[in-house]
Amino acid sequence: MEVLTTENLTKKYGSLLALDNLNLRIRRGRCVGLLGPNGAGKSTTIKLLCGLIRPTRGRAYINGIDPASDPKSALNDVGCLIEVPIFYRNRTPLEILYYLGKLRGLKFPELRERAKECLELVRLSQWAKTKVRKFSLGMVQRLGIAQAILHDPSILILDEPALGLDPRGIRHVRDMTKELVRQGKTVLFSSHMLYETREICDTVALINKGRLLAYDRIENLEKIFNIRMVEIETVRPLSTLQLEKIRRLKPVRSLVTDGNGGNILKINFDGDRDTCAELHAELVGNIGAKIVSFKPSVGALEEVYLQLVEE
Amino acid sequence: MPASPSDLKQIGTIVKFESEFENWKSIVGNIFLIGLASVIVTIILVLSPSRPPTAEIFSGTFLFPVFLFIPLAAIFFAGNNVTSEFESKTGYIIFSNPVKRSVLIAGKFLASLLYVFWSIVIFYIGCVISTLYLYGTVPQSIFGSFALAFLYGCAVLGFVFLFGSVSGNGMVAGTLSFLILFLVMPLLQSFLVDMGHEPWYLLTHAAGSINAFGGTSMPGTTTIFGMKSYLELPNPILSAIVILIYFVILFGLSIFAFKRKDML
Repeated sequence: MEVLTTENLTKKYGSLLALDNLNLRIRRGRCVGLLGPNGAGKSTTIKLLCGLIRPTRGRAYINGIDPASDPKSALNDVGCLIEVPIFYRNRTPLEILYYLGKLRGLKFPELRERAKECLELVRLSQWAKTKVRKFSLGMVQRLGIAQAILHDPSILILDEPALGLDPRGIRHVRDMTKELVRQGKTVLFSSHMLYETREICDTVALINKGRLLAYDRIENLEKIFNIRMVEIETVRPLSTLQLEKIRRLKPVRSLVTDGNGGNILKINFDGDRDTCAELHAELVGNIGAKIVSFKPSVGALEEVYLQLVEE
Repeated sequence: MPASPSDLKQIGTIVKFESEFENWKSIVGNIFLIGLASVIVTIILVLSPSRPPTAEIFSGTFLFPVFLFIPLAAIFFAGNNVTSEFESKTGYIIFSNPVKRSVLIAGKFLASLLYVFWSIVIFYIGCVISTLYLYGTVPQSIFGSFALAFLYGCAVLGFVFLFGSVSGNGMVAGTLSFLILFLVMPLLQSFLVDMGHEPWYLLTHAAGSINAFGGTSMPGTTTIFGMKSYLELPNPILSAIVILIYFVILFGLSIFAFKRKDML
């Protein structure tokens, strides 16, 4: 069942066409990454879905309800985080969560417990009674995440949730989002960070200049664009002979070395998951590489992204 | 997943949040200023060589500043209240919650009205105490005057909310409301009176009924900044209807504009 749908969704700001006939259908339990360069229309899409702006043409639906005409029903089961949120500066996180919780129908003492849990989850417990005006950008972003999950929604719409966070915070948000996806929640996740998207999402929607360029599972896109990449870390850099042997392997299209002294290999190859497994066996067996890690590389998604955006 | 509360409950939550301590300093400040104003007005009237002969005229004269402070209180509080979500971008949070925009603006309106209401109450209490002290009686019509003042507060808030909803800017909303209420309407009123026409449909003229009660108020008490006013007293019933119509239309339009405004 589709929980997020857009039908010919179009938005113009004066003469600027920000979104052009966007058609998206996101099924329940999916995690979709909304990718695109700056000004591509990602935030516009998210704002339309959350009822913050009205479409010029077309419709957006959440569980079949248009948020522009009936935000109360449409947004009941949705948690949103849009850009770096701005909160009421003279309020504390607890006061804000109580306010938003009450608007959503949560009652005490459940609301108190839930607010406490959410603040713990985003590591803001010790700041629960501090005014938001004293918060850093990262803390505000974390509070934004807390308010989005306060009512335990089954749909999450997150616009650049890692914006303003330090590496630890980024990792925390990534793990948290993964956990929410694992719990079966539907997530629409807009980001510039391809690595984060690759890690969290199973499907991506690539948009540029307001138009949808591709919408498919990451694996399928890589297959369509004939780009499969693995990133391999070895204990020691491989010898020239070993690298030459890898290059001569049938499925290998290209090989790039990276990392400290060249102990990271990025291999672009033809084939599917079986080929990937065979490649792994070949490296360990015939070539004798001592492998520390072997994982799909974000480079493939990057290639797809760049090809589509440049086209 | 909890079900969304009723619109009425949500309005209650918004009113409570909007009237809470965030604005307590300005509320206390305003209450202090109004209290001080009523003391000053009393002193001026008592020390005046031509002290009003009756309690009605005294009360009517005492209440003249309501034309100034009702709009000022409304602009001061409501201007930012209605536009804050757009200006400070808190709308990204609040608008993405399951709350109708009409509910949100109704809550904000009630919070602002509550503030204006208390300002009016304090001034009227000042008037009642002074009149009672000096004349030993309070004219009954002061209650009708209070109701009209309250209604006038609603209509003035209607202007502020409309301009705020359209522009999304508190400064613009305040300035436009101020110009309409203190310049455009009084000028128009003066011009129409000069032409020998009673401008009963103008809000500022209708608001003249606030202190022209009991048929004993001094002619010209609705004069604002020296502009000429209609010398006959406005009909209070007609004035109440006119003010009410202003309020309904202005607030209706502000809901419409607030609902359609994009949160960019």
